[in-house]
Amino acid sequence: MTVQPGGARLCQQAEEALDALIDSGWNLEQVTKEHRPCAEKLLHLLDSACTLEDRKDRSKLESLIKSIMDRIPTEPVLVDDSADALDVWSQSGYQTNSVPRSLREQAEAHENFARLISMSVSQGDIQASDRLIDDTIQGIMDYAEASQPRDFGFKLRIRMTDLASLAALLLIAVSVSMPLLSTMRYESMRRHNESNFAAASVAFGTYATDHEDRLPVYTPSGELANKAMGQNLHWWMVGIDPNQSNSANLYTLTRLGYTPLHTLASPGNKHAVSEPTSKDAVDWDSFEQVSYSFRVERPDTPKSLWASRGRVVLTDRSPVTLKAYQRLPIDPYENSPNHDGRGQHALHGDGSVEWLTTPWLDRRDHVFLPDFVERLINPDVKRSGMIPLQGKERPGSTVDAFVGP
Amino acid sequence: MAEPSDETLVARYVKGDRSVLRVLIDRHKHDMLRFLTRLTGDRDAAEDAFQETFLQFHLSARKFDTTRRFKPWIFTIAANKARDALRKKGRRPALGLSAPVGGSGGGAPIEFVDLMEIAGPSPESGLQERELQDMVAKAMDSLSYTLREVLLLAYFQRLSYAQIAEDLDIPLGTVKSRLHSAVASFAKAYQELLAGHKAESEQQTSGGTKQ
Repeated sequence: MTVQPGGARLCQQAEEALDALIDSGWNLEQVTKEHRPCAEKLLHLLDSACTLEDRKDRSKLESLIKSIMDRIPTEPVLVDDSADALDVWSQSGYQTNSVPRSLREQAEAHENFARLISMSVSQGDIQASDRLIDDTIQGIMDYAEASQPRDFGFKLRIRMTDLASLAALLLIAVSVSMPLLSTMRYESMRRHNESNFAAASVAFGTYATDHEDRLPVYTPSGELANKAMGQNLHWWMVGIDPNQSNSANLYTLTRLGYTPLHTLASPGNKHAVSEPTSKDAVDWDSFEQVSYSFRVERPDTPKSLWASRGRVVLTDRSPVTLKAYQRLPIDPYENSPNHDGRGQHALHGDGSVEWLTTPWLDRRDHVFLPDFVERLINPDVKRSGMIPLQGKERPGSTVDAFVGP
Repeated sequence: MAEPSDETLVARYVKGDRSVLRVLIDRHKHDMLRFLTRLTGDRDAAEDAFQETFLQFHLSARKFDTTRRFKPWIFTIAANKARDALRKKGRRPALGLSAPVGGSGGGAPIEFVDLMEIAGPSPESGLQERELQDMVAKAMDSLSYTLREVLLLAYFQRLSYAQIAEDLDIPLGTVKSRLHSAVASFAKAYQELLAGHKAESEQQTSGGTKQ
């Protein structure tokens, strides 16, 4: 924003941002990335100054902005030569000798100030204590240990002379070992998932500490959204629209560095990815890549209500939404595909992880279905059938467990 | 034998050599904490950000491009963590406007700053190193967080506008206008502090003469 003789007016950038805000119906999320920073500042200025009704009148709006701007203290500005020298000095890699002669003296003045500031950082009294260093390293080691998948591998030490008898033994053993290997594989997968849930638990806790006790919500800048997801959004738009996709909310943990992506990849999901597909990734690329299902929030959920036992935050992949999304009949008795259908983990809001052998929690709450669908199921009749999930359902209450996608 | 570079140590860390973590932290600990304290103006927030910075290093070490220098990379992470730490303490970084504002119709007039006209510290100023550091610290503290951040990344870290824009996720034009504003505001604050110091010294000298 700048000021012209005869009164305040918006600079071109601010005018464009204002137009974009008006066009979007004052919804910052709908404003293009290019105009969003400026639009955010305009909104900040106006939020406490006028009602939405006042904003409809463009001339009223500009007059309001002018009166606000008139009251803002002036910041000093660099004279043109000094500003130009700063730009050129930076472009030259901060090499004063490379700055054209006409601006070199100004660049030297910048160099002097930069040296002054660098000296104050490099030679100040402040020292990092041993305690701080030890705490830092211990924190990293604890985190690394919590994120480490447990290793169930073992090493065979075999001499060449043993090979012949080993071959004979293997022929006999293979028939009896198949169920054993299957159990070992299943146990290994279960332990690996358990480690992932432990890492997720730490990540949720850290995120909540940093973000007003809230669960992760996707917003481009990482800032908290004003509200939880809107009622009519499709939470299963994985890889299509991060503003709707519930997995983009979960992916926020990785995007903002709270946990690496591989801790959100289940060994039981052959489509899972361990590394982001691009540095700008904000969600998994496809529905099939998602390994864990995240709590679907009601728009009116107060913060930190999730942080107690019984409030399920994360589970192994929901078989219900996977099939509903693929337009396949769903079976409400089916367990997560992450464990060959033998059960699923559920991470509670208090950080504890529970192993469920059926999709029902102990209070007869189906972890993968919202209340109103549960009521349609007769628990005494075991049958499969199509339940018309549309990816827009919400939990029946703040207590109702419901995860997706 | 020459010490291995930071970038070599990061490569070793990625391969699983955990022992290099302490070496890396030791190399940068004091600069890092001073940088964060200058940036946040709060020692507790700086220590929080310090720990978070190296945890982030652990999480992102694989992504580090070893053709880039380690120090600017880790200090940019630190700048982001400083912002998070302030937010965690309930102190939102000030939402600095990206360009100067003011009003000729009723507001204060714009003040232009020419660095050439601002005297740097000279032997005649009689400033001890400690006093000079205090003065710089005070001038820095008078800036909003967003201005301090961009000033340190450019003047101290010597990052290009493009790198700052990428790291802070703001448009290039915003970096430029914010940095101009930061330099002007810092220079003005520093000039006022110098003038205050000079006046105080003169007063003390004349007071001493009268006695």
